[in-house]
Amino acid sequence: MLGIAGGMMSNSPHLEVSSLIHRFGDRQVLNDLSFSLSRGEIFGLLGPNGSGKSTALGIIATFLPLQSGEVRFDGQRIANRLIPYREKIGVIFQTASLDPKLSARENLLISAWLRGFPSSVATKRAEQWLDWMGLSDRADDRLMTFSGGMRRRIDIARALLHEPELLIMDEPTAGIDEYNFRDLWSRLQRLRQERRITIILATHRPEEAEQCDRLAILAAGKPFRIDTPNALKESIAHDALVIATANPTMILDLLKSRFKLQPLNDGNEISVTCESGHELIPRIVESVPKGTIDSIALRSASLADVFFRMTGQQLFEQTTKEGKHVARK
Amino acid sequence: MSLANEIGMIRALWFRDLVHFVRAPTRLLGVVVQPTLMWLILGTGLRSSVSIAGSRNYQTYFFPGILAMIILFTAIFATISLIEDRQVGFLKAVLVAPGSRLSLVLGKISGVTTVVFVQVGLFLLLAPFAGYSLAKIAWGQFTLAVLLTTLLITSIGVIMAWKFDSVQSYHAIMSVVLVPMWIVSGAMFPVSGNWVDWIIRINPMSYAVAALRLSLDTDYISKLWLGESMIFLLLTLCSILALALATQACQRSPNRM
Repeated sequence: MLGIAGGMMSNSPHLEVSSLIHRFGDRQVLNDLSFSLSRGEIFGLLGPNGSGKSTALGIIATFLPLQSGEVRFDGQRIANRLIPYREKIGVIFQTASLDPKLSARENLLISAWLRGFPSSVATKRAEQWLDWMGLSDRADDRLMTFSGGMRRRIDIARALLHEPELLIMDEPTAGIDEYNFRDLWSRLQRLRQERRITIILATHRPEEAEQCDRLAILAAGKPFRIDTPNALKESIAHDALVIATANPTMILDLLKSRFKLQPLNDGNEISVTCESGHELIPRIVESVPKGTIDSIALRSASLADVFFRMTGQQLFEQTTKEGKHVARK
Repeated sequence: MSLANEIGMIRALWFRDLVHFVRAPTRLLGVVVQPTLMWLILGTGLRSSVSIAGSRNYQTYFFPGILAMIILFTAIFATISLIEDRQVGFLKAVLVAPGSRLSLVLGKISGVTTVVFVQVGLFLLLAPFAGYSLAKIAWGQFTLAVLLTTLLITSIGVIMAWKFDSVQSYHAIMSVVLVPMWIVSGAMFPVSGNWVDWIIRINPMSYAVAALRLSLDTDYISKLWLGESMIFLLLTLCSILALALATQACQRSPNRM
C-alpha cells in the first residue's frame, strides 16, 4: 500500500452500508443488504423492478428512514451527522426533481440556493453547469419545452452543482435514448476522473451496468454477488443461445441430458449459456425432428444473462410471443 | 444548522411560487374576480336574511369574511401541489437538501404570503364600496392580521397535504373540514346566541376573521367574548402552534423513493 495520506484514506470505505433491512407494511423489500464503496468508485445495484434497489438508494439518500442496519459515510454514521452528510451528497431520482414551468437557469438557481450559496455564487454555478451540460443556449427556455434527454441533463446538473462527494442516482437513464445515454455517461466518467466523485446507482440496463466498476446483483432485496462486470461475465459461459420452440420439454431434456448444460425455461423461449455456441447450434438442430425449433439465436453473454443465471429472474419486462406485456419471474 | 442553508431553502421555495404566480395571469384574474362575484352575489342575496347589529349592512359584514376566503383558497391551492411534488417532482430534491423542515414550511408560507398580499391588496380596492374608509383602516393591525391568518391556514394546509398521499383525499378534507371551518368562523354570519356559537368559539379561523374585521372596522365589537388584544394573542398562538405542527408533520418520510 502507498504510504501517503491519500493512499491510506482510500483504504477505508467512502460509503459503507451494512445489514440494511427495510419493510413497507408486511412486505420486506430489503433483506440484509451490505456493501461498501471506496472513494471515486462507480457502484451499481443491478436488479429488476421490485428488487429493492430504489429503497436502498432512498435510505442512502436520507429520503427514506433507516429502519434497521447502518449507513456510514467517511466512517461516520449518517444518522448522527445528517446535515453535513446532506451537504456532501447529490441525488438524482427516477423522476426529475425539477419544475417544468421554470427555465433551466431558474431550476439551477433554485438548486444553488437550496445549497446555501449566496446570489453571486449561485448565478455563476448555474452558468457553469449549463455550459458543462452543453445547454447554455437553452438556458432561459422553460423545461417543459425540453426533450427527456435534455431534461435529464439539467437534472444531473442540478444534483452536481454543489460538487457533491457522493452522487446517488436512481435509474438515471430510464427512458433516455442511445445518444443521450452515451453523452451522459461520458460526462459522468469525465467527472469521476476529474474530481474523484463516488457514484452509486440503481439500474436495470445491462449497458449501464457495464459503466460501473463493481456491481451488486440484487434480487428480492438481497445481493447475490458483488463483483466487477467482467468477473461477473467470466463467471458464466461466453455465449448465449436463445431457442424459440413449440416443444420446450424436448429441448430442455436434450440440453440437459445430452449436452450437459443448464438451460433456463422462460415460457416459449429457452435460454442457455455455453462455450462455443456456433458449434452447438447444428448439433441441437440435427438432434430434434424438423419443425421443433422455431428459431435459434446466438449472441455474446451479457450482464442480463449473468443476472438471469444467478437469480433465475429476468432483468426487465419482456413482450411474449402473444404480444402480452408480462413481468417474468 | 447553517443559516445560509435555511435562508436558501426559504428563498428557493418563495421564488418558485412567485414565478408560478406571475406566469399564470388567468390565476390572478380568477382569485380576484371569483371573490368579488361571491361578495356581490352572496352579499346581495343574504342581505335580508342575516341581521347585523348596528348600522352596518350585510355586504360590509361579509367583506372581511371574503378576505379570509381569499387567503384560504390561496393557501389550499399552494399546498395541494405539495402532494405530487414530493412524490414525483420538484420537492424530492428539497427533502434531501441540507435545510430544515421548518424552513421548508416557512418557504411555502412566504410564497403564499406574497401572493396573498397582492390579492388582498387588489380586493381592498373594493373596500370603499363595502362601506370601509381606506383612511380609517388600522393598517398595521390589518397587515399583522393578514400575516397571521396566512401563517395559520397555510400551516394547516401543509399538515393536510403531508398527511394524505392523494390529491383526492385532500379535496375531500377541503370540503369537509377547511371550507366548513371558514363558514363557521363568523365570516358569513355573526355569533347569534345558539349552539353554533360554540363551534365558532373553538374554531381558530374565527379569530383570524375577527382580527381582519377589527382592523378594517375599529368600531366593531366582536362577540367572541374577547377584546381585540386577546383575539390577536389567540390568533398568534394558534398560528405558531399550527406552524410547529406543520414542521412536525413534514418529518414523515414519503412512502417510496
